[in-house]
Amino acid sequence: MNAYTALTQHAVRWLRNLSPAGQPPGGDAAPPRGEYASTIADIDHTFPASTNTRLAAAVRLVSCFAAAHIVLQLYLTQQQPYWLLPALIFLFLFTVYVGLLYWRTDLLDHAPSTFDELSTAVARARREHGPPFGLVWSGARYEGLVTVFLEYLHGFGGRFLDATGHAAVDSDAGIRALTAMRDSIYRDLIVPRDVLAWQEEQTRFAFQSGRAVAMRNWPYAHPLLADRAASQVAEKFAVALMPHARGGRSAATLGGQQLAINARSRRPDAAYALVKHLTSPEEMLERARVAGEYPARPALYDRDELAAAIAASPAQIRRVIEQAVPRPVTPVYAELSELLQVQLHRALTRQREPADALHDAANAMNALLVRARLVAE
Amino acid sequence: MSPAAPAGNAARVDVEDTRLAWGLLSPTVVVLALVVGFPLAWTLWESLHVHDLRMPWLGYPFAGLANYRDAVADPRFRAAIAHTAFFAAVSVSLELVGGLALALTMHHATRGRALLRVLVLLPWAIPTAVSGLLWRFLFDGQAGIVNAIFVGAHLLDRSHVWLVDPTMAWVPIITADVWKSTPFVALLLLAGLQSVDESLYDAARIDGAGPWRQFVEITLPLLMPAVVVAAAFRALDAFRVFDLIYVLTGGGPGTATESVSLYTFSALLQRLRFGYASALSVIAFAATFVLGLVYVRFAGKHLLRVDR
Repeated sequence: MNAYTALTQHAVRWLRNLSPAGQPPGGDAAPPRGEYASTIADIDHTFPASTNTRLAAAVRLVSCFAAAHIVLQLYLTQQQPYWLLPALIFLFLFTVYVGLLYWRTDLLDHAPSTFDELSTAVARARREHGPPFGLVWSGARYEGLVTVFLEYLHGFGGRFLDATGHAAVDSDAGIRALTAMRDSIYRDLIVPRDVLAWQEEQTRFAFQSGRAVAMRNWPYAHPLLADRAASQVAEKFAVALMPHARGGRSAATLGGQQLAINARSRRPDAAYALVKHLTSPEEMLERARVAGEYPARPALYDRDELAAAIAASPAQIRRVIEQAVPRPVTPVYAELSELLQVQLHRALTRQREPADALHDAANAMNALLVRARLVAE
Repeated sequence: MSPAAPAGNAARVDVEDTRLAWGLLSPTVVVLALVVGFPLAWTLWESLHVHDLRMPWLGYPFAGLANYRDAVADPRFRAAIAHTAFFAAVSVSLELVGGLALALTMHHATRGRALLRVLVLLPWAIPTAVSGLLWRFLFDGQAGIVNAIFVGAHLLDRSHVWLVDPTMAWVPIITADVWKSTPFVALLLLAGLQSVDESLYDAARIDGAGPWRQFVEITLPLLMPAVVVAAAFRALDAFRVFDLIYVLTGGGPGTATESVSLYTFSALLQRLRFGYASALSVIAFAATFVLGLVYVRFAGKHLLRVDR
């Protein structure tokens, strides 16, 4: 058995040990010996050293299978019909994305820590300084809306799935979170209605041209906003965690990229060499500098090069990442998200009350989980 | 074949003719069976199974009519049918009225006819996805010219976000479709107008009929076959509407403008529910087929009556 086979088997065993509700695997997945053992150790030490990240990584992997084109391709070519887990082996976290609050340092004194504080501060800044928009986030009916909702949801103390793996978005916290989002548009008038058709880039255009007091976006926006040639707000903004409800705790939705090697690759060693290069510390620093992508190696957050590269305090970013919430670990995540997107968008466009919309979403999600035999009836 | 066909040589010739005819037709029959019959049969077969690529562990069990039962009970699918019917009824009506007006203008224009026709055809020539984007920019909440015009004329007190308003989102959708498809209807109706015998109008004038009377008594009845054909084409097209709504609103806000095709697309290619989406496709196909059949019969009757 060569080292590559050992690695494959390890990865597959590790994945199979993940229960549908996303509980951490048992301790039997010991790293294999051999040439690639250091690789496995690398997985265990990618950012941050909690089970959360391994789970989050697994989410991305499982979503990877769920990604339409991969499944469809494998299905059509019949290379690996149906049970697809062994078709890919997963290796590395590549970059880490977290949801951030960008705020204007010339319009606000400090980063607001609660949603109420944010509303008041943003409304005052708009009155006094006159930018047309207060807070902007991506509110179109797509995955981006779910990532924003997750930050409100966790900020109010809610959860996506409960401990039994059932949908929990219609908890009191969930309803309060969605109501807060809706009220910020129609009652407090700090979020423009336009965001309901916006994705990340439209929010960035608004913030970059100085038309918004605050913006929720991913790290990629940072170098673009800091570019003095193209940005009206260069040197006039900072990043912070999204606010939370009073008595709650801020959260940042976790995203990112992973690298995987196809188990049927004819050149696994070449693929591995590439992965090794792409995940090397130097390469990660380079990506941080050029594209604003945060490294997936915690050790890099102590290095001065990173501080120079991302123009934000690495210690602060590290804190944000450590509070990041992954999206649920389930092979049907994409479907759950779609059901939620529709209901969130209905509530935010005032076609439904938040409570009704979230009840419907939770019912539909639970029906789906039952149909998928991931939870008991 | 006539049962009273004479015996002997003639009958043999008939048989040979029939064989020849089948021989000549067979390539077409084979091609049609391959590109129409086979996919249709496969979709039908899929629709009777649980087949979910996102849940490979469920396998591929036979499910009978379960997918159809789910589809009938699915509020989102029912809403999609209602949206599609609404869209088809409103846009096709507007296109027929607008198309008739355009056709009459083109028919009676004495100068610049060729230029007029080119101009009229322009929207039809632009790919739907492109014109969809065009209208999306025009109706944009921030930078759209529509808001600028309405606010400038004091018809709106502030910019309206058209595409995320569950009711108003239909305005850009239907406007874009009418803008794009009216020329097509106009062209069909123009052909109809040109086939009307001019002497009928001469006779009517001699009898003292005014222009309105001539239009109601001569033009409209004789144009009916063309109107029915245009309406059939457009209604079937409108029932399948996909690209325009996909580009303009994506079926939103929520699912307020989602059409049957859009929902089927999302079930099939985004959620990868092959079995269920096949059932949706079969239902949509059956509905379109029945609609087409009714139209063809109706149109056939009309054309026949006119021929007599």
